[in-house]
Amino acid sequence: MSTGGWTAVAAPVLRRPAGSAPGGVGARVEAPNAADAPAWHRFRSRVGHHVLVLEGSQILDVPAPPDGAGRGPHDHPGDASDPLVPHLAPYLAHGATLDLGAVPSVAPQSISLNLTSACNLACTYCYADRGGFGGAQSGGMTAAVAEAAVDRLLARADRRAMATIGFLGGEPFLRSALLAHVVRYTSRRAAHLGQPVGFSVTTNGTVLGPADLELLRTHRFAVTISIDGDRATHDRHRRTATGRDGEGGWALTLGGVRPLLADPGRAVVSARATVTADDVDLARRLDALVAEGFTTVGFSPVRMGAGAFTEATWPRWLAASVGLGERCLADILAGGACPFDNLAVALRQIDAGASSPYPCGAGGGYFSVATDGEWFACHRAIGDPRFALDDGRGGVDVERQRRFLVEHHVHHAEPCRSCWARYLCSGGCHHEAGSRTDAACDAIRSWLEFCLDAYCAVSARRPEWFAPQVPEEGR
Amino acid sequence: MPDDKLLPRNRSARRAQARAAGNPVVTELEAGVGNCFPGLEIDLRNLERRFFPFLAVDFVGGQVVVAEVDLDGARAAGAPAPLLDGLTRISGTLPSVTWQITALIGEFAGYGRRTFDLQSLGADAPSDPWTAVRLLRPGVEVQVTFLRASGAGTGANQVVLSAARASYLDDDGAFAEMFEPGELTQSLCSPWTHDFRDCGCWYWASNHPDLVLPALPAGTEPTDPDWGRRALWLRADRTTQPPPPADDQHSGELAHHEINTRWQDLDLVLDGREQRAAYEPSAVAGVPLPAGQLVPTLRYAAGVEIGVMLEYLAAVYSVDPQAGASGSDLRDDARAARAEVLRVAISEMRHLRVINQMLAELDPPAAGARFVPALGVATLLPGPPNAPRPPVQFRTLTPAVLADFIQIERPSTDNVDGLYTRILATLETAGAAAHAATIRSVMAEGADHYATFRNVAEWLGRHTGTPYLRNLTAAPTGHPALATVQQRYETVLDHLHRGYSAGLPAGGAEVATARLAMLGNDGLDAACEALARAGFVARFAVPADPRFAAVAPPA
Repeated sequence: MSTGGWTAVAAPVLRRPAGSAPGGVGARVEAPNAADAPAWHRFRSRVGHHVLVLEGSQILDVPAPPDGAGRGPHDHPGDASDPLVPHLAPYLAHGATLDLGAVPSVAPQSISLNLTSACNLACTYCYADRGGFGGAQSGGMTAAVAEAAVDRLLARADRRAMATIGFLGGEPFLRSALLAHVVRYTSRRAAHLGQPVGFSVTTNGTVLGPADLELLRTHRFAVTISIDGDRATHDRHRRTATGRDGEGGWALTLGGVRPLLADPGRAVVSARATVTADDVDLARRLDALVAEGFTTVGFSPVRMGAGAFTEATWPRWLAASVGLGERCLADILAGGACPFDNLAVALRQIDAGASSPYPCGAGGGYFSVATDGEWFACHRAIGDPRFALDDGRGGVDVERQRRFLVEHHVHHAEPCRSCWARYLCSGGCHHEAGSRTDAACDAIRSWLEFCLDAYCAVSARRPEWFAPQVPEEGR
Repeated sequence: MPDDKLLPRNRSARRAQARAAGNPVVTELEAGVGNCFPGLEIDLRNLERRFFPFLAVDFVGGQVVVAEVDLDGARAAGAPAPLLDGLTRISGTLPSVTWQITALIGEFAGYGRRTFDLQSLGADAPSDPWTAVRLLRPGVEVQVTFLRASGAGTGANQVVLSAARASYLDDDGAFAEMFEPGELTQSLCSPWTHDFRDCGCWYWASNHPDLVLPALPAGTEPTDPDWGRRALWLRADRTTQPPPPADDQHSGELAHHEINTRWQDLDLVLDGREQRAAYEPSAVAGVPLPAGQLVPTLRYAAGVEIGVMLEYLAAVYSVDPQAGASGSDLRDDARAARAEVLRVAISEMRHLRVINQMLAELDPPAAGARFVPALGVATLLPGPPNAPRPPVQFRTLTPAVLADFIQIERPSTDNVDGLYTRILATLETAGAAAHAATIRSVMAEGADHYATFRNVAEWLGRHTGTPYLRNLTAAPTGHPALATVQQRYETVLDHLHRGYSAGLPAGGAEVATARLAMLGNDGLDAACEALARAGFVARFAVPADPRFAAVAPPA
C-alpha cells in the first residue's frame, strides 16, 4: 500500500497478473530471515490487543501479551518466545503464499504523459522544477509522441484490468487541445481493442475552460487538484509566475475548479495539499478545502528541497496527522464521512490486507513519458538516468527493468528490510529514498500504528464503513 | 479471551481461516456438485426470452407463451402505432388470458427466410420452437403471430406483430440491459432445494446430508440412545420427536413439490446433527504444535494407539459370544458388539503402523543406523486438562466403560482426536501434503470408531442389565494364562519392532509374522480368549524390554 498519500501522486501499485508465475522475470529478493526481521508485530488498539502478520497485513485479535499491563501501545515487537507463536502458523503460512519476495514481471498498465515542460505557477517546492526538471525536459509533447506512447501501452496492457493514462507536466491544461486529443484517441483505440481505460490528471486548475470541464465530466477521470488550503498558506507557496509573494494561485485555482466541484459528471475530484515544515496545521487546511467543496483531501509532506521536514520537524508532522486522524476517526465512528484521504485510504487498504514490497508501480506496471517520448520509471524522475528504462526502440529495456525492480524491492532496502512496517510503507517513494531518516521513518511507523489502531476501532464499531463502494457509474 | 484464541479481524486474516468448525472439509461449497438439470449456470432458453421488443416470453413444454408486456417501454421508445396497438391488446388481457406464439416469419440461420408454424415444425425445420426463435437473425425484422390460447385462429383472438428481432448481447458483448437481474437463472430448478431431493442417496457431496442425528432437546445428553439414531434429513414429518430412524427405502421423505415450499423446515446440520440452538463448536480448528514437537508428539501418538488398543482388547474378551440362546437378539448383539470392538482395536494397530511409517520419514535414522520404532505404550491417554484420565485401564465392557470409549473417540480438542487435530494442523502448515492426508484418514477412522461405539451402545442398551458380559475378575499375578497373554503380547511387539526398524519392503515378513502372532491359532487372540474363559479380564503390563518402555506425553 502507499502510506496513505505520502507520495505525491498515487501511482498504481505493482501487481502480478493472476496466473503469472511467481517471480516472473525469474528474479527473487529473499526476505531477511526471521532472526533479523520480524514476521509479525504486536500492537494495541483502543479495542484490544492485536497482531499484524506482515505478509498479507493480516490483523488478529489476540490475548494480552504475557507482560501486558503497563506496556505502551507501540513498543512490543513479536519475538520467538511469545506464547502466540504456535498459533500464528496458519496465518504465516497464508502470508507466505503471497510470495512477496518475487520480482514481478508485468506489462505496463498505466502511463503518465508529461504534456509540457511549462507551468503558469512557480510553486516553491515543485519536484518538477515547473516541468523543466532542471533542464532535463524542454518544450512540449507532440500529438505523434503521445499517440505512440498510448499505442505502446495498449499493445501489451492486460485487457482484464483498467489501463490508465495520466496527464502531468508542467501544467497539463496549458496543452488542453492535446490533452483532449489524447483522451479521444485513447478512447477510440481502447474501444477497438476491448481495453477498459481510465484517465487521471494532476492540475493546478487555474486555466480550466468550459471545454476542459466538459472533457473531464464526460470521461472516467480522476482529477487531482494541487491546492494547499487555506488561501494564505496556498498563496505563500503556490505563486503565480510573477514570483512575487502574495500573488498566489488560490483564487485562480478555485475559480477554475468550482464549476467542476459543483458538477463533476463522471470525474472524481480530490485535493492534494503539499505541506511544508513551517506550517503543519493540517486541520485548518482541511477545513478550508472542505468549505470550498472538496470531499477528499490528501496531504503530502515535502521531503526534499525547500520547506522539507527535518529531524526536528517530523514529530510536528506526526502530531498534526494523528491529531487530524483522531478527529476524523471520531467522525467515522459517529456515522460521518472521512475527507482526510490519507486516513481513509489507509483504513481501506488495511482492511483488504494490502501488503507489497513496492510502494508504487514505478518501473513495473507504471511509466512516465517525457515530452520527447522517453519512458522513465516515475514522473518525479524525468531525466534521471537511474530511472531511465527505455530501450530507445519503442520498448522497455528488460534487463535494466529487472535490475531496477530488484534494487527497489523492499527486501533490498536498508533498514527497511528488517522493519515491521516493510510491506505497508514499502520503503516509501523511490525518488525520495535519500530523505529516509530515522525521524521520518519513526513518523511513518507511528502514523501506521495510529492507522492500525483506528482500523481496529472502525472495524469493531462501524464495520459497515468498509462495505464495498459502488462506483459512481454503477449507480 | 482464552489463551489459545486468535480471532482474525481484517479480510486478509479471515481468508487464512478458510476452514470452519462443525463440518468436514468436504462440506465446503467448492466440494459440492450443486446444481441439477439443465446443469448450467444459466438456463440458455432465457436468452431468447426477450427476442421480440417490449415483450417477454416463456418457453414452456414446447410452447412459447407471453409472460409480460412492457407497454411503458414501448411508448417511451416511440414504437410504431401498429406495434403499440397490438402490444396493448395483448397486455390488456394479461395475466388472465394466455397468449401463445404460433408462427414466425423471418430470417433463420441455416434456413434463410422462412415461415414456421411453431405448432407443427415438421422435418425441414428447427427441432423445437425455442430453437426456431434462437435461429432468428438479430436486427432483422420478424413477424410473429400471437394466438389467444382459448380462442379460434382469427379476429380478436389473433394478433400479428412485426419488429426487428432483439439481440441478447449489447455492442460490448455483455448481456443486454433489457434483462432483469436473475432473469437468466430464473427457470433453473432450485439447486439448493430440489437437488436435495432429486437424486439418489449417497450421490451428492456431503454438503447435502442424507441421514442426520436429530437436534437434541435442551438438557439431553448426546449419548442418549433415543437421540442417537439417524433419521432422514428430508423427512416430511417434522413433529414426531425423536424422529423415527431412517429405513432402507427412505420412507417419508419430502416429495419433489413439497421441498420447494418446505425447504425452510430443514435443519442446519453440524457435526452430523441437526442444530436448532446456537452452535458451540465441539472441535476448534487445530493449533499447530510448537517447533520441534511434531516428532515427539507422533511418538506419543503411537503409544496412545497401543494404549487404547489394549483397553479395547480387554473389553472385547469380556463379552460372551455364547450369551443368550442360539439365534436370540442377545447373542446377535453380543457377537456384533464383540466383533466391532475387536475391529476398532485392530484399526488402532493399523494406525500404529501408519504413524511408524511417517516417523521413519520425518525422523530418519542417522547414516548406518536403523530406524527406532515407536512401540512404547502411552500409559496416560490424552484427556481434559481439568480431569486427566487415569492410566490405561483393563475393564469389562459395561455401559460406563463403553461410554468412556465413546468419550475417547469423540471429536474433541482434549482427547485422541484433539491430539491428531494438532498434528494435522502442524503438517498442513509445514509438512508434506501426503502426511497431512494420512493423518486425515486416521482421524476419519477415529470418527468411524466413535460412530461404531455409539452403535454398540445402542445394541447393548436394548438389554436389561449386562447379560452379554462374562463374569470376570482380575487375574492373580503369576496366573499361567495371564503370563501367556503377556508373553504373546511381547512377542507381537518384538516382531513389529523388527519389521518397523527394517522398513518396507525388508520388514514386511516380520510385520506379517506379527499379524499371525496376534490372530493365529497360538496367537494373542487365543490367549486372551483362554484367559477370559478361565474367568479373568485380560491385562497387559509394560514390558521390561527398554524398546517398549512406556512413553509419556510430550512436555
